[in-house]
Amino acid sequence: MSKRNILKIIAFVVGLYFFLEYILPEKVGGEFDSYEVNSPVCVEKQGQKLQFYVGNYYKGRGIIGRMVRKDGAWKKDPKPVMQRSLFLKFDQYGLAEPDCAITPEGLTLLYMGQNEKEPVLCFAESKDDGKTFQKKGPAVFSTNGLFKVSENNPNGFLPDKIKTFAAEYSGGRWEVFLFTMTYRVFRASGSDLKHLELDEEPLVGATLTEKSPNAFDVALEGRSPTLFYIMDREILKFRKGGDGQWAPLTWKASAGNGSNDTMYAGGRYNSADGALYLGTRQMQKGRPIDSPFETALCTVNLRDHSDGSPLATEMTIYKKVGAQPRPTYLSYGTEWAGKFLTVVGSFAIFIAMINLMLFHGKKIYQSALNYNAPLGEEKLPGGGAPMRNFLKNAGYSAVFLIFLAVMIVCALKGQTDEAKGTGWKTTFDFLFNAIQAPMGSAVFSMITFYMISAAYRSFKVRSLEAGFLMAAAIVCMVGQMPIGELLASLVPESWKLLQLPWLSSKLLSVLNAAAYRAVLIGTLIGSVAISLRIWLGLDNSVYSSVD
Amino acid sequence: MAEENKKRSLWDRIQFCDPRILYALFAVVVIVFEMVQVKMPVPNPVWVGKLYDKVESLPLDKAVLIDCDYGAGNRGECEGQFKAFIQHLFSRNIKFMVVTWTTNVEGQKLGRQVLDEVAKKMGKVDGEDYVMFQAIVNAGGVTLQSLAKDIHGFVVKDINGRDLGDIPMMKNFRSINDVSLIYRVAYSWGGIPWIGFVQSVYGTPLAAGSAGIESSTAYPYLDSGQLCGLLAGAAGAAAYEKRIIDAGITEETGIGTKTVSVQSFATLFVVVSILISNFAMFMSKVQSRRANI
Amino acid sequence: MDHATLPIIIFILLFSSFIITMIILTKRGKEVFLRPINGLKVIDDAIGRAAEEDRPIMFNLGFDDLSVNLFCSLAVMGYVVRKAAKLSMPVYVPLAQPLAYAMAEEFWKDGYAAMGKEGMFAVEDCLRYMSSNQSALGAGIAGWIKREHVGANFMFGTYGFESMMLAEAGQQAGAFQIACTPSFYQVPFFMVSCDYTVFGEEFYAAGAYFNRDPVLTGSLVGQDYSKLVLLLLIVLGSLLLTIFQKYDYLRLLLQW
Repeated sequence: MSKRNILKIIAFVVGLYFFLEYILPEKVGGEFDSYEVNSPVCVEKQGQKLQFYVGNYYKGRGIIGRMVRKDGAWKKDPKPVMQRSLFLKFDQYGLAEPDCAITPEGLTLLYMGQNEKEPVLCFAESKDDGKTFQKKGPAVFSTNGLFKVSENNPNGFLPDKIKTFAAEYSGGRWEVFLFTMTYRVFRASGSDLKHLELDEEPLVGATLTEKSPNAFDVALEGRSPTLFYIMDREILKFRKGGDGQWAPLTWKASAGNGSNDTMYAGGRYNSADGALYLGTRQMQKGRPIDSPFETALCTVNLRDHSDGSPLATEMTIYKKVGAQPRPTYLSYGTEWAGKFLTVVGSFAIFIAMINLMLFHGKKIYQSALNYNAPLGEEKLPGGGAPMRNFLKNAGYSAVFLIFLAVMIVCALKGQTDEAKGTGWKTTFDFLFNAIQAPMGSAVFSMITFYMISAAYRSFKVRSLEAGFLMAAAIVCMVGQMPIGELLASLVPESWKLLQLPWLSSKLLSVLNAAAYRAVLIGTLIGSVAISLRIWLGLDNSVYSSVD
Repeated sequence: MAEENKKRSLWDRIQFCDPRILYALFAVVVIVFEMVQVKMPVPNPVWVGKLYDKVESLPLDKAVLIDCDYGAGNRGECEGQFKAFIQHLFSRNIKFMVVTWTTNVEGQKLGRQVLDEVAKKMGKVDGEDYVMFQAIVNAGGVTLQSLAKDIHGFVVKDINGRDLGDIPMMKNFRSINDVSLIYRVAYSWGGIPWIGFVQSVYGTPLAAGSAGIESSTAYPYLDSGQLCGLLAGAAGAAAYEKRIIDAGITEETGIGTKTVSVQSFATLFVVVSILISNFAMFMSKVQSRRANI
Repeated sequence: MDHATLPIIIFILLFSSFIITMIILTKRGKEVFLRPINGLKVIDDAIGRAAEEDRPIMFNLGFDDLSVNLFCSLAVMGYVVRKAAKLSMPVYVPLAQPLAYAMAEEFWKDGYAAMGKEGMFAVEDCLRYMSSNQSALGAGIAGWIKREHVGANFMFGTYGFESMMLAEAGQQAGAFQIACTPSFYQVPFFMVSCDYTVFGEEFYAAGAYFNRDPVLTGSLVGQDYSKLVLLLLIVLGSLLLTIFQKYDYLRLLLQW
């Protein structure tokens, strides 16, 4: 097999890998929760404690995992129980903030579906203790029994965007409490999650806390709810007083066993007995940076600690500091390719530099060899003194090499002098400010001069099309400048066609954009075609240098 | 040569004049109006207003990612945009990260000068209110993808050589999900990689600042909503500066406003010279026709 | 989403199938008409003219890094280098991207080797990494064009503002200039200063014009069919959206 064919096969395989990575539905591996864990929620079903949580393989792609309480410890299922869907709009980006309830049918898990628009409250049902879930789509809210659900408003009538929620199921009725972006709480109830009736008045109209709570839960005692706000360092409990105002109850349960702990997600655990929260330990200085938080599942027994004395009854470390984000199986390759290209790019700069130095060094060397050659010899173009000849032949090269050396030395030395802010660093800054930047500006401004001579020479109205072109050009040039604004102020507001700024913006955003799109479509399809040819090894021109 | 010139008519001589004459005249126009600042009304393009409103509505718990890729050549147009934009962010206490590329050292140097100057003036602290990353080797879309997925893992250090993990503000910003807006300021807004690999993937809003010349490529993307705002050239900078001055964020007139009046007269010069050359062509045609008759 | 959505998968498969089908058909002998593109036809003339005047040729690769655009430009460069090698003329290649350097070097050496002119010109004299800085690149190339009195200047690939500097420098040096670029907004600058300007998708078609390879011509036809489909969709979508503005499901379909 020839070298070329081997290359083609390698290119095809690599291309196939990327192509599959792109089009195949995402497959999440066993370590779906390695990057971050979040929002635990716990239920007890027939004496069996079950816990669901959100695991991320990288930030913002929540997937639901499950744990079972066995022999006094939590045991994690190796595989996630529910993943984000690829084609359903509601939870395309991931699942977040689950809440769970036991219903006669089995287990119902409610969650916030993340998508490209606002989050949507969705639910799923399970008949096998949460080992598998059947997605049921968004929950629907209405006022006055009217249901209007659309693509833009999948949750039906909602007063505000939902931030998080809490759901309770008792006696055949769902009670869903929506915590909105403006920190208000709304209550909705009904026997079916697809037909929930929303109270018109918010349960909590104004914010109870200054900061948004990290997690939110509700306990029903009879019909009157108690609200739990899990804040950074404490859990607050609110109850409606006789005067209709929400008042914090006297106790606060505060966080954890170390001063560094923060409670950042979680929920109440079994009817006001305890709270389950996820504690974080802030990253220590100098630790690995991929995952700054160490997270642990903690339980607080609320009943015993109404005075606020801290106690974490249990800690299960979910994730340790330094855990790497684990993407999907195929994504390993693409991530690696990104790093590989970066490394190759760095080497290429190095090689290019060597080429530059070789070229100019050679030029100087040759000129130096000929320095004392007798005048008028063929090797020296033109006459004159040896020095003049040398400068003529190798002057630019010498300047280039000198400045290259000076800049490199200043830049490298400057790194170490950074703190002092003197010496090489200032030299480098001076060279940059006094030489490189002005030269850059000067060269750029040169194109203006070129443009003027080119326009003067060839921008002539030789035909009707050229006339149109010129008119459009002048309108756009003048219209975007203050002078166009000045001219427009002389024309009445309603005469839009005579107002150059308006006209130029229409020319640009309508005519120009349309033409540009047409060219762009052609260009991009062309690039698809050539990519396809290269990938399939049909285009020999790319491999022409390989036999 | 001289004889040939004599044979040519006046109009022909105007039509085919030495470009150096044009260059000299143009230089004179620019220098004169640079010295004599004429106050001009500032244009108010729609897309500048949209970007301003976007910044006004940004949440405080997310950061803005700025891709600073302008150079010394387009400093006149882009520096004003960058400066006005960060002044606005500072005034709203929105934290931001600045990305620069190894292929454009000028972007890093110039960007940093502006950043340090504005931060000092507005009393902001490096590492708490803003951070500038070490220049990144740009290998196309894959780079942006890696950056979006995991900022800490990809960038590693900031421009002062500190680990990203040690920077106070970076603790909360780990990936593109913690970014509320991407703003790229460069000669060519060149947004296709940003749109293809970040905006359309994660839905993060993207805005651009570019030199006037290149800004026309951005319009289809503005229409489609893939770009949420555009500062085009010095005029865009001036319009943004006007807005932040109106909002009381700063008092001094920015670079954009200064540049735009000079630019105005330069443009006028170009237009007039094109008209003259066309008129000369027309007249010489008329003359030659008469001569033929 | 990191991954292709259903519509994207459908479009990818559709366009690929058009292109591959047409490649297979042309390989089997289907006759294909290619619209002549003047700018590409005259490449031979440009090389010939430069050879007559005994002036060197320059081939600019623009700002492309390792990308599809670079491969397109390199395919043409290979052709130009071979032609020039036949006439024993040097082809200068200024480079803006370090990564492109290695690729260009291979193509350049290969071109001379194919004509048995290996070692006729030193690589470091002809291929030069200039700078990734646009100003430096523009100034450097403009200087090179004027110093060496370049006779034919080819500008292929993507360009930024340096386009004007290169093209005007070439114009002032009296070089025969052909620009071929997918950078839409540099087209006006090339137009005023170059003899021929090719832009848009014709840039990607350039390779097909030199050797009537059925693969290249077939894929061109396939592209045209893809464009036709898109055109129909655009027209249909605008019509439907105009007529049935009120229907949610239709808008859903369109947003899809």
